[in-house]
Amino acid sequence: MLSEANNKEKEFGEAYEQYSDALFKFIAMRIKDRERAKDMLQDCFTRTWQAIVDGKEVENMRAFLYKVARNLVIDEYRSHKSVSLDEMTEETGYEVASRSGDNPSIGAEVGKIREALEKLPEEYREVVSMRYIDELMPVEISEILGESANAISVRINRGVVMLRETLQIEK
Amino acid sequence: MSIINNMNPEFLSKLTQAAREVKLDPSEKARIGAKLTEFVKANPVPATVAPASAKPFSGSQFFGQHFGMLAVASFLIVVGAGIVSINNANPNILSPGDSTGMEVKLPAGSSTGPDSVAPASSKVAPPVGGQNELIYPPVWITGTQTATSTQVEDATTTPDNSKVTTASTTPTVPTTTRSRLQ
Repeated sequence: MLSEANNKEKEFGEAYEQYSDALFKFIAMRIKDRERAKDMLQDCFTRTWQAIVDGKEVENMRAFLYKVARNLVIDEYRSHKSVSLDEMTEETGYEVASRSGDNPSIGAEVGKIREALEKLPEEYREVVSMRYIDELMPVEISEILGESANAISVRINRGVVMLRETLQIEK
Repeated sequence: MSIINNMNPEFLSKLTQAAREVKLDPSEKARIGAKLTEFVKANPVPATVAPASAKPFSGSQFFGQHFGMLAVASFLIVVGAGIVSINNANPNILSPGDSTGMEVKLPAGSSTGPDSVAPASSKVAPPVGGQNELIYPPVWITGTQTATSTQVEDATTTPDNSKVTTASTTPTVPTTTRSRLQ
């Protein structure tokens, strides 16, 4: 019994080492507030551990952590409903595009892509972001969102087409 | 536009590269990790309950857990005993072997139902000569193949009934048999 508890602690520690960076990126890219993202990352892991303590059997730790992080982001959006994303960015002074290297042209280009991404309908924006910002495979996205991998792949394709049209990029 | 092209859009690779720069500083990661370790120590996973077989038997605990079942069982025993005592006390209630006091009189000659014995005509007579007796000698012994076929042929070609009769009744077969046996 004791070893089982130790195993869970060990597994949880390894999950933190392995996924904390990716989860931080996942949260920070959506919240755009670095300090708040760190708090939410901690919250994500404490909630996951609490679920384990309460007897929840976590089969896929990575998918479970992403689900918790996603729920936290949704809660954060809801609590800041009256504040637009642009206002949040201005408030916190954190912009991903401004951190992308020393090349200002790349930063501007990334900024345009992000703007176009924000204009996509939610169902497409989410999967495109998960695929190209979080670098998750369609199968992993399907596990987090609870949908079939095929449906996710189709939605990613459509989202990319829409993004291309918005940015008026030639085929 | 091909799907392959969509799956690897070059313009999104810049966004991917930019997102890779969003990292947690090692010091920040260590600080959050330390806080989580404290949290985990403060909230350990509770030890699972030992299986029932490992526990020593406790009479009072058993009674407490199975009180309902015991109550139902004792109620059924009391009700059963009551039925038995009522049955013994009241002569109007029948027991196995008691007469009902009623007799059914049938008219003379009426049948009470189908006979259990089959009528003699329906019985199957045993085969004549017993089971193993051959009524006609088999072809492979007597060699009647040729003789019989010839005679039948004659009988069919000739419209004379006597010939047919002769063909079927004339014992030419034993002759052939005899000559072969000799």
